[in-house]
Amino acid sequence: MSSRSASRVTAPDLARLGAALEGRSRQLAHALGLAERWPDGSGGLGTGIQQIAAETRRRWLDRDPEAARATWLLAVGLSGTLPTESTTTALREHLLGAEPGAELVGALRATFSDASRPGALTRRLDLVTDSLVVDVTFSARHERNTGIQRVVRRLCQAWEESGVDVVLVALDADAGAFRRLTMSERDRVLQWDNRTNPVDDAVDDDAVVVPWGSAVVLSDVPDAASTAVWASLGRDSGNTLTVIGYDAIPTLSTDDQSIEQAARFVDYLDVIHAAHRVAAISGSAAEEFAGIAEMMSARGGRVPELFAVPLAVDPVRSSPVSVQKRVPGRLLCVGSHEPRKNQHAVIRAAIEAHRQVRELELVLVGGGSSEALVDLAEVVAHARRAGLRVSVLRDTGDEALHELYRTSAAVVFASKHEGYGLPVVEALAEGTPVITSAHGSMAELAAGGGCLLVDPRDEEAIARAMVSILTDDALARRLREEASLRTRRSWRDYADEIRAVALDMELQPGDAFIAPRYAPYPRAGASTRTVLLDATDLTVDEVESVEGFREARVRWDVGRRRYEGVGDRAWSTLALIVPRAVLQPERAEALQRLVEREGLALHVVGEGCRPLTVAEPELRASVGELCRHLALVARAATLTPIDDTAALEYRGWIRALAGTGLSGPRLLETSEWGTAVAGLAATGGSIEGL
Amino acid sequence: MAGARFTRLSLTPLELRGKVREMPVHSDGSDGRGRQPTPEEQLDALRRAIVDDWLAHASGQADELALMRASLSWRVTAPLRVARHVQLRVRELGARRALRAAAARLRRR
Repeated sequence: MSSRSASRVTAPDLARLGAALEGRSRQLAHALGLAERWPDGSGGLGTGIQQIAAETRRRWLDRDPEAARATWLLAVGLSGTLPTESTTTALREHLLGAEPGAELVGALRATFSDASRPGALTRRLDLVTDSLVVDVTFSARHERNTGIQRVVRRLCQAWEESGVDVVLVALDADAGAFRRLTMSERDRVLQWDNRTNPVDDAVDDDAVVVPWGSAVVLSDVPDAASTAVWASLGRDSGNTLTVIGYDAIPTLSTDDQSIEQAARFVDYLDVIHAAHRVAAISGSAAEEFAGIAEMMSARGGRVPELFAVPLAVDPVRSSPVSVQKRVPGRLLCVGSHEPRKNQHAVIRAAIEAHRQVRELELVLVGGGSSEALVDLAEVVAHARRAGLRVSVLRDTGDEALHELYRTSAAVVFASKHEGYGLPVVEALAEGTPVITSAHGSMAELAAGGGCLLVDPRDEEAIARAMVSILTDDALARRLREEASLRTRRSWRDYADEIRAVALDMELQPGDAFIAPRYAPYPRAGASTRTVLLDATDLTVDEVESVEGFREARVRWDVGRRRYEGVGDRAWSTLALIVPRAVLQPERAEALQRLVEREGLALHVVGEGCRPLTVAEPELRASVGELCRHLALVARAATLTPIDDTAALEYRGWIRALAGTGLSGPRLLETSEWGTAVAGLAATGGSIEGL
Repeated sequence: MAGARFTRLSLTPLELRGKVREMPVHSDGSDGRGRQPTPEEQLDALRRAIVDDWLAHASGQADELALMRASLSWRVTAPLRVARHVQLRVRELGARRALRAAAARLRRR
């Protein structure tokens, strides 16, 4: 096919492609300071590229710190495409492996695949130097306007309004090149509420925008197809990459997420690892990313600087409604319908509270998957049978939502894990008190006043808070006053701080919260009796059935000695020994149910979180299972890592757990397998059944 | 695949010099009289030939890809590929989890 397809290229085509390649090559020669080796006006395209390739090779041999970025730019210049790390690695290896004088051939070979992408070879380079380059791919190309897109649009609008010079770019459909936005895309980002160019216009993909010596901001969560490009941009290009970090929920709250989502999230974590700075949307999210960065430090290399730059809130749309205009007894619950948002618990708590407050009415706002809506309908039907008035509203516009905020007695937002918690600040901005979760970003937002805090996993506590806020007038008045006195961050504030982080400007005290260093989380771990259990030998059925589990054979090898026995009904502590880092998810879930049901203290010996910290394709299949396993370990009393790498990974992971409301296990000293087993036996008391 | 096709571009300097020796004598076109190109000119011409060959193949491959994606058969079989993808996911994860994963993917945006 190749020779046939190559022969189809006509001489004029070849001349055009050669001219485009020469244009790109001359630009990169200038950018790399090699213009004198290939003066303008001189011919010799092949010799010119050979000069650049040879110089790049020399930089590698001289251990020049500029070698990586020169290689990245050479790859862009030859192929007209933003490279992935596999391309830059191949290019470096081909250059270093080439005979002196034949570097050209190696460079062409390494970039052939990228150059073969449709449209790549005719592109010119649009070098953007010393600028703030902001990727807005999803918000520019799509009509959605939920959480992340709202942040991206408000951020860019704030920069636009304050006259900050920002280059907005989007990745093309193949994730091969940045391009400038079309008029309609600019409208979609900068004038969302008042668009003048709603019709899509033609995309100009004749040029690839190449940030060079610039600060690049990744404002969205990139899709899977582009993460490798982002990772290379962060590690190789010499640009400073700042990522707006929303949350790490897919890897930390796997009880309520699909494990497949966790597996995909690893690619994003690789981008986080490649970034220079992460501007997290709350202090809690910053803690999560700081923990993940710490986990990833186990694989070596630079880790990003962490900043907490809390989001802003839209200005209030009208004057606050007087107390009289609020609907007595109306509680509002805003959020997409999914287990993590905890609406089922809120509804059950409302049923309980309704027994004391007959006027209580619950309004749920938000969409969700068909599966989630079916589940929700069942709970709602149950609530209605119990006499509670419940409404479920979908596709509610901004105006209608703010009207609901203003007219509700309180908002209930008892999510189990959030990166921020936009409904909390939106409700408070309207002067409406909020019942929210006592951990993570929600507790952080509540610290400014106007909120009652509850444990989202405690339905009785949620019900008590509902009753208090609806029946205690003094409390409600105090919370409303606190809400009205809160200081409000504007999107201008947010945009200024993101810019300061991205450009490494000096931050004023209080501008951005810098995540503190890791501190161990103490946890009481008293136990009297221990069963050491090699969990990998158990079937799910044995775990599911308490009787079956207790009678299951347990065995463990310490050194050359093998212990065997059966479980003991008397145990109060379960030592779960996990010879492999990964358990079957079904078994991990079953063990988690067992531990919770029986109130056991769980001790784990673990091998670390490598599938999460190393973005290698062969480990990809294990990521979801590891996350499910970690959901179990998060409830453990102690965790003994088997080596220093595992210890570093677990330490970061425990830190990242902050947003989930779980304190995580107490991290014990690193220990070999046999010593760990013996140590657990000593701390846990006798070993029953072994 | 691409790498294998370009194995022949891995020329050592010795091979390059050999190629240069084999190249025919060209006219420089300046005075209408033929002359023997200098070794540098020959090397330059050879490098240009290598670049042109690379451009022709990369462009040809891109054209093939674009043609294939634009073809009627590729477009009409798109639903089949989606169905096959779903089938593989269901086999791998089970129907419920495959559905959940698809929903989660959409929701994540």
